[in-house]
Amino acid sequence: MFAFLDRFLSRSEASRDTAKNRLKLVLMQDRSVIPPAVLERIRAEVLAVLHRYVEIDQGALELNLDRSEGSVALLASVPIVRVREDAAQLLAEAVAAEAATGDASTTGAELAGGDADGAVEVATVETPDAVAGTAAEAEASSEPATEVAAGDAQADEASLARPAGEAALT
Amino acid sequence: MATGRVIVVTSGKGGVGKTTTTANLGMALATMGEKVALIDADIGLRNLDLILGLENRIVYDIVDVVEKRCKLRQALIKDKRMPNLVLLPAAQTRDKSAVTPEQMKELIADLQSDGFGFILIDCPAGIEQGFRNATAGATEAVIVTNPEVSAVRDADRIVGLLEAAELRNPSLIVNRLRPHLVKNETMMSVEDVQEILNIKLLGIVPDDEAIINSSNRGEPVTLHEAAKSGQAYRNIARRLRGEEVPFLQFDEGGLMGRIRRFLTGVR
Repeated sequence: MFAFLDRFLSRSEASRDTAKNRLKLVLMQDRSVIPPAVLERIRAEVLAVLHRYVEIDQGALELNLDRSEGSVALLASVPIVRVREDAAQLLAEAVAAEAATGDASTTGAELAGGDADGAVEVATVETPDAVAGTAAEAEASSEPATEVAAGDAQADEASLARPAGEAALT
Repeated sequence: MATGRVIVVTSGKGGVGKTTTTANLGMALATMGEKVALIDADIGLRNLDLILGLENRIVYDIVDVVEKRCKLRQALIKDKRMPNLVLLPAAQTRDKSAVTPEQMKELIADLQSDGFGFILIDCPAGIEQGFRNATAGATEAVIVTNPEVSAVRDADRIVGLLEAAELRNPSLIVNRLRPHLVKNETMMSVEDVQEILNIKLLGIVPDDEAIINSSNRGEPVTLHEAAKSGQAYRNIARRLRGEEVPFLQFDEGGLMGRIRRFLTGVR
């Protein structure tokens, strides 16, 4: 009763709710920690995929975890030197190969040549377990800043997924 | 070969009630006729013997067994009150590296072939070597937490580490619940904790003065019929055996509850 009056008069939140909200926030951060080794691997695999189509300034590549407003994103800034001349040809071959194997998951990829002296932003949210199989569902256009989402089906759950821990990652 | 269940009782944070929980669940299961072995994996900080009242009967400990100074059977201390309950005590003068995960697995296999139906492991606090040893041979995990921010955060970390160690689907015991504080909105409720951790609830144990008394005397509270916490532990033991038991209801928030608290001195 006093607790109620006190809250009513001071209009402060019940400490039970404060505890719950603080915990939710801190756990979201705890659970989204990606160990450096995994981050390095993501970087290498993303680079390998991009490298097939564009020439990249590898030294200037940045890969960071970004936490804001209740979600976690992996942001990559990839300075592109130039788009490969044979990119369209490569794509056509890849699509043909996939059609042959019946895997149509990346047929949505589009790539156009031209002036691409900008940065491609790669946003990927993955649980560490899924990282090994980082799928490249790439979608790129000739606009300077492009968003590439990988594994977006898992994005909603990722912020609630716990990191698998050290043992699984070594 | 018999396949006894191997359950590690863990928490991450210290002082949330792992040892008390291990002692009481072991005692309750033994009372129900199960053949139970308790392993104190908290090497260097042994306490399970003290909570069970068996501290004066230790001759050999877990390190003596793995270093082959004695047979496993010689190190097991039989409970006076409940002969189908035994304790394998921790060593007090060694550290967590004195036992390896491999040795732990061997030991557990030996206990299983001796016919123990339940093997409960009291895990040390922390997430280092002691935790890895204690979880090495387990096939199930029970996480003990308190409705309090630091305990819940550590419990969450433990869930992740258990998953990495292939110990999936741990269950949760919310210990030291103070129902009238929940009613006052000054303590997180069991539902709050469960919503955050999102794992299966195994039991709720209220904060209880009887626990302090029983620790002082070395008599697990579950031996006392009247104590509410003892009832809670017995219920958990029954759930572990596969029974459906409704969770205890605590309704101490009303006028009668407050009068009772005033009269009994329970906060």
